[in-house]
Amino acid sequence: MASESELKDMSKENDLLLSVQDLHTYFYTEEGTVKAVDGVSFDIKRDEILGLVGETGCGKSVSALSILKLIRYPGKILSGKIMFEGRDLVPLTEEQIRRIRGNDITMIFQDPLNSLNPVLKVGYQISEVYLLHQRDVLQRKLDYARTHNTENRIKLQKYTTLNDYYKKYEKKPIDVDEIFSVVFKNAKPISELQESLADNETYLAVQNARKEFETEIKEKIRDLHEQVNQIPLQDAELNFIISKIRIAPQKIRKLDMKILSREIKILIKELDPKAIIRIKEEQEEGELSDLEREQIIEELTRSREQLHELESSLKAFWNEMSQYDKLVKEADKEEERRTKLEHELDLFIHQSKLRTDLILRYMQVLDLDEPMINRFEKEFEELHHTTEEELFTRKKEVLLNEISNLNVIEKVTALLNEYQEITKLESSRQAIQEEIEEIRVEESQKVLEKKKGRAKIKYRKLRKEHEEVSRDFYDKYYEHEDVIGLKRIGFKVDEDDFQELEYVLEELKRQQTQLYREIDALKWDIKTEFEDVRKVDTSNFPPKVTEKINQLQQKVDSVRVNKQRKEVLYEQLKPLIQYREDIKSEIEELKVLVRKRIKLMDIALEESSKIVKAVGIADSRRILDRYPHELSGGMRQRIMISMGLACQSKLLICDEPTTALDVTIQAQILELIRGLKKRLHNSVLFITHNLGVIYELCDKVAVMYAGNIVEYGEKQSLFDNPMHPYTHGLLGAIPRVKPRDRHQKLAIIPGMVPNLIFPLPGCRFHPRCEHAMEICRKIRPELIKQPNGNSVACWLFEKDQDKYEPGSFKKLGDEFKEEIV
Amino acid sequence: MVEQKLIREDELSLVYGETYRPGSFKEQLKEMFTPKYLAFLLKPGAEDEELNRRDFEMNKFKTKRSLIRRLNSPLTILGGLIVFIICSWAVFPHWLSFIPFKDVAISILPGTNRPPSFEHPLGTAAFGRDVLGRLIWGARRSITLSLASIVVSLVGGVIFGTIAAYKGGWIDNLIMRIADIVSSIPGLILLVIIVSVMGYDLQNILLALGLLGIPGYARLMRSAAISQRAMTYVESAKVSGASEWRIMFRHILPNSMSLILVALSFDIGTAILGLASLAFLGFSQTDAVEWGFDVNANKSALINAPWAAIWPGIGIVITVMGFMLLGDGLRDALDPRSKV
Repeated sequence: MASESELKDMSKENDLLLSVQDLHTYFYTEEGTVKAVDGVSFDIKRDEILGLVGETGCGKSVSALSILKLIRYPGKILSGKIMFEGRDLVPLTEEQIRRIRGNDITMIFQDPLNSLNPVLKVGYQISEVYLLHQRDVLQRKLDYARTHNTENRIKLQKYTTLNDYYKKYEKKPIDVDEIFSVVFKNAKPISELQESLADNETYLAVQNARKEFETEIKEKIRDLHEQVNQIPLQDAELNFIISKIRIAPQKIRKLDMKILSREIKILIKELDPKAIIRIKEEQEEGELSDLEREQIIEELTRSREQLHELESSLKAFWNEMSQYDKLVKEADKEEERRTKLEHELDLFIHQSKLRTDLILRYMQVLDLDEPMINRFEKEFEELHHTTEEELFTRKKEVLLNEISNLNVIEKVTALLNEYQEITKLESSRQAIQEEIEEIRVEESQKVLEKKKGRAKIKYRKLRKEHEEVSRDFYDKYYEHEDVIGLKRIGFKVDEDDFQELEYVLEELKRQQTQLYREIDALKWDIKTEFEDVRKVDTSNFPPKVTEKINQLQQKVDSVRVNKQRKEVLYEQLKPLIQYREDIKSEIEELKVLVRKRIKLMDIALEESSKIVKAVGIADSRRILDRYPHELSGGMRQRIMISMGLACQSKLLICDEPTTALDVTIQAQILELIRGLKKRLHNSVLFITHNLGVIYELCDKVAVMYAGNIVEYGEKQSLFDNPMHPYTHGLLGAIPRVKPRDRHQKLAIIPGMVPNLIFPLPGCRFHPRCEHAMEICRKIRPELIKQPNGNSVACWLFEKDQDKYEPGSFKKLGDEFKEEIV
Repeated sequence: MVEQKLIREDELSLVYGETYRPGSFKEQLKEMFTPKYLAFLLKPGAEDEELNRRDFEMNKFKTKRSLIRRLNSPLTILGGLIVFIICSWAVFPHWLSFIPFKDVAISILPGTNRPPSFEHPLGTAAFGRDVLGRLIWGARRSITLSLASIVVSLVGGVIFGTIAAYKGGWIDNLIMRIADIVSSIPGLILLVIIVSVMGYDLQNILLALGLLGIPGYARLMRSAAISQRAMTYVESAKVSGASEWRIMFRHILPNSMSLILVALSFDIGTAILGLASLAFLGFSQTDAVEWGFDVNANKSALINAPWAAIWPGIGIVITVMGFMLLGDGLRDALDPRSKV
């Protein structure tokens, strides 16, 4: 019926997405056959929106449902073709069409509430589409995620072993052999590395010298110990002392203080004058005279004052001690910093080559992860690209820094003075303690004498309390005894030690001057030092300079040798240890990842959250977790659209999607559909009775009436120049808002939609048409293309009127219309 | 075609790169039992300062929706308690009754039909058997029998009913006519025949009871599912490409489950009574401890020792009531649309 050839000419073949040709869909009801769609043809190109307009019951929805083959019994697609991408959909089986539904063609219904399943969550319903059509894609993603998970598991194992090692390292000095054995099982023997480090003779020589020095110190300590305690010192104990000599735990002092102040408080309580007077009176069975009473009170107040004084002095002592502690800590910090600087200095002197080689070797051995390797590589690059001058400036900075840090000397001298005062204080403290004990003994005797029963109990109670407290204290004390180390062995700081400390001070000062000298030497020649101080040929220089160079050589060697093999190795491993924190956080992340067993549904939900975001819902996480009835109408329609677009369908059929929504949300949804079309380049078949919406959205329009298309063409020309009387009627029925159009009355098309069981012969619109002619009653007009590009099915636009019977283009009288309607 | 799709996917993920992983059921359960969440559940005006406004609203919303909140009505809790107690009787009778099975079922003790005393709080039945002990031991058999047979009839009924409703046409006719035929068989007589021919075999009795229950459920399910089939969401599920089986059992079944739940809670009582009536007719094992059997055996001594027959009867009534209350509450709670 419709001019197929013309339609084909209108659009290029490959541009055509859907082409409905001469579709007939009938419903075989008991009353008769309803010819709902009777010969409809239209095309939808790619990336185009076609609007389908018409009154209710004109067959818009039925033709849309026919495209998806959703016509249910008793309906049936009688004839016609539905070509989708060059493939006819009509003869397809249910299984085949199911592949297309939801995947290539999707549909959005009028009422979003009813078209979502009320008992299923929105997230499930969207991800169902993915599960149905893109199971293979999801499976691929799932496989990837799972393999990734196993990778994570391996990574986690690796990291945890590393972390364990780090934990160990935090507590005790590093043992490189252990690291190699625990963490890096496939490591090469260390001897290779050792050789590369200890290649010069001076190393061995100075090592021996150092050993001698150490033995000297040990002997000194041993002698001291024997002098003090008259017992020979064992080797283990000696080592222990050397390692723990610095530590002075503050906690123990605190506890000590607590006990003392507690005892004083108890004593003050016991010294209640009223109670004592009463006790005396009871004993002597008579009242005391005022004088006696005053005496007692005076005594008590005096002893109380004494106690208070004691307390305050204790507090003062405590404050001093804590200050001392602070000082000690500061000194420790300074020392640490100094040692650190020494390390750095050493590193610089060692030059980068050795280090990079070593790290490279480690990398080969360790089979490290990519990020780590990247970090290493960065470091190498840095080291290789730094020029000699840069290196020198850096070195200089370091040295200067070191010198500034040598201000420790002053602090240490201050500390020594402090310490002497403290020893005095300690003796005073002991005196105080003795005093307290005396007082206690006296008081307890008094009380016992005067108040037998109660006092006994009270005393016992106190005693018990005291015992408990002291037990705790001593428990803790003994715990810490290991730390103190000195106590058990009976080692005490004497004047000799002060001398020792002074000696250390001198040593430090000497070092300071030496460093200054070094800087002078460095100023003298950069290059020679940079290459390697030891290899400089001194014969060419003047004697003063050679002296300096020799000094420098000695210094460098000593610094180098001071670091033992293991410490150097530790320096090489330092970058690994610096990433400790990163590894910890990564381990936690990995644990989360590993614990979770990923399912297909998770992947699908992830996908659906993406599509929901694309539809303009920002809070997709929460929306997916809701039931349909908990969403607003606009949201529901958005969800429906997202379901439609889930598989990037090529054709989206919208069956009056905005009818059930209010106007502002209508606008939003229309904007959304348009935006999505722009982005995804899909086609839309938009079914509506609202011409405003059509004008807003569509590229092309097809006007349907009673199962036929009556006008078909470009939107703009159709709205500017409507041809079919029915289109005129529809356009006239749009309510006007502007005041200048207000005077126009709404044009109403008279009559009703015709009965489709017994469709009229000829033009189906003619009973309601004001231009109806004789021929309209008899012959059905065909859809014919007009000069402006649109097609119209109306006899008004027939050119060859002579072909037909004479008089057939005469206007009909009103009587015919009434008769038929 | 495939390439195009992939590119589009990438674009989408580029633009909306963030991903969302809603927790699995286990994780959600874990989250539910964190102290914060429990505070929301149990305290009416609980607030957590750490949460932002949005999270707070979400949590409030979730708690409102959660099953525990929804089961909050006193009658449901009562029903749940009854079911819990009866089920724990059925599982741990030897701990809860303090009486060995032998003393309750087999051995003959002095003191027939004694009134309630300190030793026997509910009195004794024939052969000096403790009524309370028999009540607790009897729960095991009554509950297991009734639940097992009901599960058989429920599963069968739901499957056949849904298929009949969705497919329609000759399949519907076939299934429903078979159901008519089966439901026209008088159950008790069939049971009596089975027992007298094949002996008192529990499996047979269970199977027979279960199969006889299928038509009722099928009919119920069909009527519920037919109304659901006409809903738009079925159409939209079809549009998104769902298969028939998916539509039947993923979309239609959960929507029509509420009716079935109520029927289920009623039928547990009927199943217990059915077994009781079988025992009442004299078809049961003599060493079986069962409420229906007790009612039958002690009916002769109703005037001398009413406690022996009345307590098992009360047990049946209370069990039925408990399941009914729980089922009613569950039905309300499982429907996400209902506002509790």
